[in-house]
Amino acid sequence: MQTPVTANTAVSVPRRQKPLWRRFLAQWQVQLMIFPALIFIFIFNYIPMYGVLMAFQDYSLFKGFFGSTWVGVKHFEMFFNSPDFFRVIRNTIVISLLKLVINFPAPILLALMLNEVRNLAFKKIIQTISYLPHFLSWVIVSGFTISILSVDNGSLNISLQALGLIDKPINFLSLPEYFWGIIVTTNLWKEIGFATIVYLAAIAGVNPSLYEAASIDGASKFKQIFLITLPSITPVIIIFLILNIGSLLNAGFDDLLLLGRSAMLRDVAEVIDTYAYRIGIINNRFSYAAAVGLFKAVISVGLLTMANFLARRAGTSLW
Amino acid sequence: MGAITAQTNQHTAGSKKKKDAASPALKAVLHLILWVVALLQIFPLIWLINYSFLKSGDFFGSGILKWPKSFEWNNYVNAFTYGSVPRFLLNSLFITTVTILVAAFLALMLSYAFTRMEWKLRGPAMAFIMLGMIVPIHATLLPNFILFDKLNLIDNPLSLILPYIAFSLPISLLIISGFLETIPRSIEESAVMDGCSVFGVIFRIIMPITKPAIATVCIMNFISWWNEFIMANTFLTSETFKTLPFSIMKFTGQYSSNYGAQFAVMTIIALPTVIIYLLFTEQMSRGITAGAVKG
Repeated sequence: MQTPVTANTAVSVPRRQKPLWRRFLAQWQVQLMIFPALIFIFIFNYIPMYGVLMAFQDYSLFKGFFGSTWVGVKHFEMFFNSPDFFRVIRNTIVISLLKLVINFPAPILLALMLNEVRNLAFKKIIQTISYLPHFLSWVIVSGFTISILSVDNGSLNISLQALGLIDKPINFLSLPEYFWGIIVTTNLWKEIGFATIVYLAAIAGVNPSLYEAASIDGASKFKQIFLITLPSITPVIIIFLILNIGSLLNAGFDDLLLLGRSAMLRDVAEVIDTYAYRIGIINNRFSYAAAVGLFKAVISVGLLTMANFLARRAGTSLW
Repeated sequence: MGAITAQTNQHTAGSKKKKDAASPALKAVLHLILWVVALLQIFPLIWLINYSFLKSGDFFGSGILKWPKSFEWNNYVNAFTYGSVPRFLLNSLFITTVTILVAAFLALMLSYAFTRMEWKLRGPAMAFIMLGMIVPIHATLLPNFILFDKLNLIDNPLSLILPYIAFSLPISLLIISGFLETIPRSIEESAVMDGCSVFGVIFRIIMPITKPAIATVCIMNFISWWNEFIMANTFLTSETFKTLPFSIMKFTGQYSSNYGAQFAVMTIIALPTVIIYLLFTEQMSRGITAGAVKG
């Protein structure tokens, strides 16, 4: 009874004990296929997460991560008590909600309209043109937005004056009351085509026999849109809506930084992300900026989980 | 009575036609709205090109679009000289080319490993890469800045190329592996039978077959990194390695009154992306819809 067992272990033990690195080396070709990529992502997407811990330190570049003193939640308290807190949170939520309410349904509407166009060449032209701005850098978009809105000879001021709507040119980009409108409009202009393409693809996947059956039953075009097209693409719409709600605190970055450069606009233009950027990289208060970033990340994860919970009750889910 | 039934009959006949094609009036309204949308979308670009050909004197006066008396090519000459366009253009080309080549190469190998090979940690590794996509770029700015500062890589093209590659990988993997899954395995199997190595299979068989997906990935990465500004603005400090978007910044200071040249610079920066977009529209939208509408 005992002999076969020992023999068995004697055979299997040396094979199992072949060291891990040896087995690893024997497969070097296969490992080479994935390891460089994993290392890249680990270093540049995950290691930055250690930045989270800086929020609990008085981080100093000279002492480094391990030499800096731990200070607990001091930076969080500073942020919550700072006069910037309310302003930054309000701007983040307002800008984000405005983008959600206006820029989220717009591409769905455009996709529904484009779907009714029977002339393929015309459809293609409109689609191509509306998608084009997505490929321009915010640097360019903000550049000509600033020029179009400028006081001296800005095209918008010239046309408003020609129409008799205003007497004197308005300095749109230094007056806080116009800023949110400008941000929403430029974002709508830049991104409407991108989302439209996604919705059009979803609409193209709707079973055509549904429309045939509906038209035999006498449903009008509008009825078909509301009773067939929209319900069919609801899962896609919900997924995008969840992603939008989950990123409610991502009010934008490049656009706000480039268009809201004027100090007069800081009261309406500064959101959590741009605030952390200014404090951290321009003022070198690393720990404070990390605390602001971490505060935002925690709330974002909460929002995403909540949105997904709601979506699951509605029948579609991200995970 | 007879007249009424006739009327209702007519009515149903009319609405029957409506089902197949919307009424002409409705169709006209639809087309009109879409033309207005298209016009609004294209107008700023026409405006930009128009203004890039104006002399400084031409800017004044009424009218939104201004036909120049003579095309002012001087603006482009000024853009090249004062905006350091040639140097920044070379920097941009170098950084984006290296990025998209390395990213495509790594993503191809990754996709092969994920779609064709069975290994223990495949699921977790996939999740690891895909979760990397959720990390927002601006959240990594500060820690990466500190990292590059330690490695003495601030103001070095590598400080852009390395994170660009890392941020390209998840979406590239998604597109190429989505394409690979649709390809039958029989060709690779016969190649392996004939004694082809793993890398032989990848680069002599898989690469030619997945060319459309690789092209899509390269174009998408090109466009996003060609336009990238925030990382470049954070990690580059001297003139030597700055990328094309910085040319505009050069005109905000001492040459800020030179509007024509500013618009010329913007046109120069926008042109490559617009041309590439127009050439590869089909490929771009296919790539995006492949990633977005999966379920």
